Parts: sequence; structure tokens; C-alpha cells
Amino acid sequence: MVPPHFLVFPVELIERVLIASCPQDVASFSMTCSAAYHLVHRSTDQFLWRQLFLLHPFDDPRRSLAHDESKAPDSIDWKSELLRRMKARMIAFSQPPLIYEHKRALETFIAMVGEALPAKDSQESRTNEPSHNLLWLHDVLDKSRILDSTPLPNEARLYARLRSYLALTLDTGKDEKTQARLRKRRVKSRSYVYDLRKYNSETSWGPYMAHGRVNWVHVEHLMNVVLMNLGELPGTWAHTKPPLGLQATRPYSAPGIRSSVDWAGIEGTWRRYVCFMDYRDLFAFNYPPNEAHDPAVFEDPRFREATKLIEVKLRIVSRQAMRFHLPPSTDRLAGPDPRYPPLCFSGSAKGVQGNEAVIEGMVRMGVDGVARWQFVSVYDGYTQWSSDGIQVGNVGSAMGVVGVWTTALHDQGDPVGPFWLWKVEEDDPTHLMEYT
Amino acid sequence: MAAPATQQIKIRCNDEKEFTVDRDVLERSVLIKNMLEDVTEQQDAPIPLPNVSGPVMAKVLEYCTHHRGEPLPSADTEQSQDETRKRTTDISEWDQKFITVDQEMLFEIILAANYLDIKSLLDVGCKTVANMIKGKTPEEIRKLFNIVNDFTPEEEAQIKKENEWAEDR
Repeated sequence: MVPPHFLVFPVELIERVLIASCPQDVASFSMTCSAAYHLVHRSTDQFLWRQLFLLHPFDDPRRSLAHDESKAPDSIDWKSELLRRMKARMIAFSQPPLIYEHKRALETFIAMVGEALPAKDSQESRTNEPSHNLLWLHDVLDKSRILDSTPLPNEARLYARLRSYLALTLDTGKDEKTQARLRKRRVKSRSYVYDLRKYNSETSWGPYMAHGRVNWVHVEHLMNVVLMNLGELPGTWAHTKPPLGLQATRPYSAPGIRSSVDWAGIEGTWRRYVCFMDYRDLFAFNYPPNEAHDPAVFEDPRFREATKLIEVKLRIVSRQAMRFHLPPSTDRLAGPDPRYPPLCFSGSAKGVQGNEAVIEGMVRMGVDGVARWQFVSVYDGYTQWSSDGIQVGNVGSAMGVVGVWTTALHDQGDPVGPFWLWKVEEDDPTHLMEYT
Repeated sequence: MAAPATQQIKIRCNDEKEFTVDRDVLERSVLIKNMLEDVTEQQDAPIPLPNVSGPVMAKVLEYCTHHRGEPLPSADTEQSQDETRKRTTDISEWDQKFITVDQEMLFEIILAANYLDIKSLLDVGCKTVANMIKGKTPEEIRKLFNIVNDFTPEEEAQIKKENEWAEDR
């Protein structure tokens, strides 16, 4: 009797073996001969590649928010999607670096964040599954250190977007090299965030570029400034911070129920860090005698920023109920996705001195799938502050909203600073504070 | 209804080799289980298994005897496999020892497990082959399975380029 040959196995048995293998091994097998090649690459159905994709494992894109349910369930090109990720990974690790390919890899990584498995299935049920997309991505970014390289000009925003999602979670080293790099980055971020020239009608006094596109470089700098200030807070406040890192970008990872009405997860209790410079320093930095902004002020060991922790409670209201902040007609601001209509909200903010402000604002979804938050703080009937920020990650992300506070009047020379707003459990026991 | 555990069933392989086996051991094979559906009396004629040889059946029966009494995977499990997000190439210690055979026997066991519809044994076999391929270059896999490279040099260059993402590990 002739011994059986692997290639004369029934196709479903060969596929069964390949499904138990990793994509790299499947690729090697496909390179052995034309029969193997055809079986792997020319098969008419997607079974093998769908299994390889899901068992890799990656999050099932059919369960992501990005999935368009109106499309046929088999409209996903599993092989292309899997290979796109495998190639992105190869590019990230490639030595010498394939710098002209980085853009493609970064776009793939960002798309994967958008396809992450929601942290809650529906209503209240929280799934225990981690997001495999994000576990994989964290591992690739951490081990390849691709984000440590210097981006080409057209990639800077992609780098900054991924770094914003990571929120310094890959820069935790206590070694002198890491610390020196962080100190340098802090000066750079402060110079950017506190540069008043960045705030005008073109940038909507927020982390935006012309036509309302998100300026991720700005977002990253805002996060750096707040995070490094938090690292210096005394006592337990150093631990009072938003959840950070890729898993905190998942849809509905913030506390509270998942609701189709409150798609942005507005209603509930929030914490808000606000940072600001002494106004004399801010003025001196922005209006130098020799016309050049000198970051040296931030390197002076006596330089201080203040950090304030505020409690915010929000609920959804109708546009008609807005008393201080009248947004343009919500129809005009509606994004292309009917699941995410603009929502108006109202609430209160409480600082350590007990002074309470009224908050009013609106959340709307941009065409880029990033939720934008805009609100004002009203003291004694006087609209004092205006804040503009973006949700870092997906809808309802635990990481929350990062942005810029300015004065409501937007007068020239008015102060600005970063803020970070994130949702907490209703009974969160944090003490409020102000630290200089 | 459940048959008495002591009931014995006779089978005949393609090399005329016959085995007499406890019914519950044999019923690990869904093929045989279905054949014996509604059968309660003692059968005198052996069940013919024209696709399995005696030595391979002896190995398969060794596996079935060891795993007798374990719950059989239900039809749902097979269906929901698509949703199973866990890849496991782990094989239990006993199974690993059991499946440590030459390649010819391994392939025969897989084909027999497929024919007899013994899902857990099929899994052990396929995972074992997957582990054999693991980390190997195309050339090493050719040697392993005695595959003849029938690509032209141009085709080979093209395919190598297509799969360059897989080379970095």
C-alpha cells in the first residue's frame, strides 16, 4: 500500500491542519508547491482565512462599531485584512526601517483601534473578553518601538494619534535615557500647549486644524502636559487619573450603561483635571521682548504649573433647555452616521473651594469618527470658560476627553490650558484638590 | 435508550482483521454510533470498515478506550467553532505520547478519525501536523512531507515576494 501523502488529503483536512497553524506557517506551506499555493491563495471561499483571522486571535470585525450591518456578512475580505496586519507588523519590526512604508502600517494600526471589540455588548452587560486587536497592537508597538522613530512630515499626525491612544504607557521606564526623553518632550509639549498663537478661529480655540479636522499633534501635547503634571502630584492624587492605554480606548469602556440615546456616555459623574500656568509666566512666554518664544522658561527648576481636580456631573437636555450656550442648530452639525446625532448636555462642576459652576455644552460626531465635546462653565450667570476637546479613542472610551480650556470671550492674550475629562463610577470617593 | 455497557460489537477492517469491542468504546466514533442507532440486540455479523486497516484500527481503539466515558462534542460545538477565539495547539500528555508515531501512521490515524468521525482524535492529529510545520521554511516543509517543488524560478520569485511578510519572526 502506498503511504498517504499530505497533499492528497481531502481539502477540509488540510485546512484543518492549517487553521491550527499561525499565518506565517500557512504562508510557508503555500510556498512549497503549486497545489499548496492554490489551496491557500486561490480557494474560492473565505473559510480558511476567516478562521486564521479570528483564531489569530483578532477581534471579530462583525462585532465592532465600525461594522456596517447593512452590508452582507460575507462582505469582509478576511485574507486582505489579515495580510494587511501581518504586513504592518513586518514593517514595524523591519531593520533597517522601511520608513516609506511606515504610513501604511500606522494607518492599519489606527484602523484596528477603530475596529476594537466594544467593552459592553448591550445595555449593562460588560464582556470579559479583552480586545485582541489592542493586545496585539500594544505588543507590536511596545516591542518594535516604531513610534520612537522620527516621522516623515506627512506621518506626524498618525504618530501623534497612536501616541495619544497610548498616553505614555510605553514610556514608563525609570532609566535615565527614558527620563531624559520625557523631560525633553515635556518642554516641547508645554511650549506647544501654552503658545497662544495656536488658538484662534481657524483652530476653533481647540485641538483642531482648519475645517475642524483633529490636530492629533496638539492632542498628544495636551495629554503629555497633564500626564506629567499628574506624575508630580502628592499622595493619593498621583493615582487619581483616567484609565490609560490602548484598552482604555475601547468603545464603552467607561463606567455607565451603554445606551443608544446617550451614545456618547454623557450622563453620570466625571472627574476633570485642569492645568494652568501663572499668568505672568504665560504672558512672558508669549510676548517676549525679542519676538522669539523661548522654551527656556519651562526648563527653569522654579517653573510651576497648577493642577486642579474638579467633579463634574452631566445629563442630557434638549437644545431648547440651554440657557447660556446656544449651539448652532443640531441639524447642521449632524454627522453622516445616524447613530450619533448631536447631543446637548447640562450639569454642574465643583472645585475644592466648593464654588459651583453650571456646565452646558454639546457632543457631536465628526466625519472622522471622533466625538467632539464643546462646553462652557458659567459662574454666577457669567459665562467664563469655554472648553473644546475630543474623545480619545472610540465612543464611550474610558480614557475620556482631552482638550483645551480658554476664556469664553476668546480675547487676545486670554489664558489657555489643557484639560482631561473622564467618567468615574457614581460613588467614586476621590477628594478634590488644587495643587500648585 | 442506553444499551447495557457490557454489549460487545464486532468490526471487520479492510485487511480482514476483526475486533470485538465494548459498545461504548466504539461509539466514540459518530459513524458507528449512528450505525448502531436503534440496535439493542446482540449483532452477530461484524460491521465492515473498508477504509481502515487493522494496525490503524488498533491504534484508534487504544485512543477510544482511554477516552471512554468522556462527553462527546455536540453538533453545536462544531458550529460555534467559528466563534471560538482560542487557538490551542496544546495536546494532553497522554494524547501526545499516543500520537508519537511515524508520519505514515499519523496520516493514517487522521484519515481514519475523519472517516470514523472521531472529532477529538482528528483534532489531536491535525494539531500534531500543525506543530510539525511550525516555524519551518518552505524547503523544510517540502522535505518533511516529500513535496516536489514544481514552481518555475519566476513563479517562485513572485510567490516569495507575495509572502515576504511571513519571513520576519
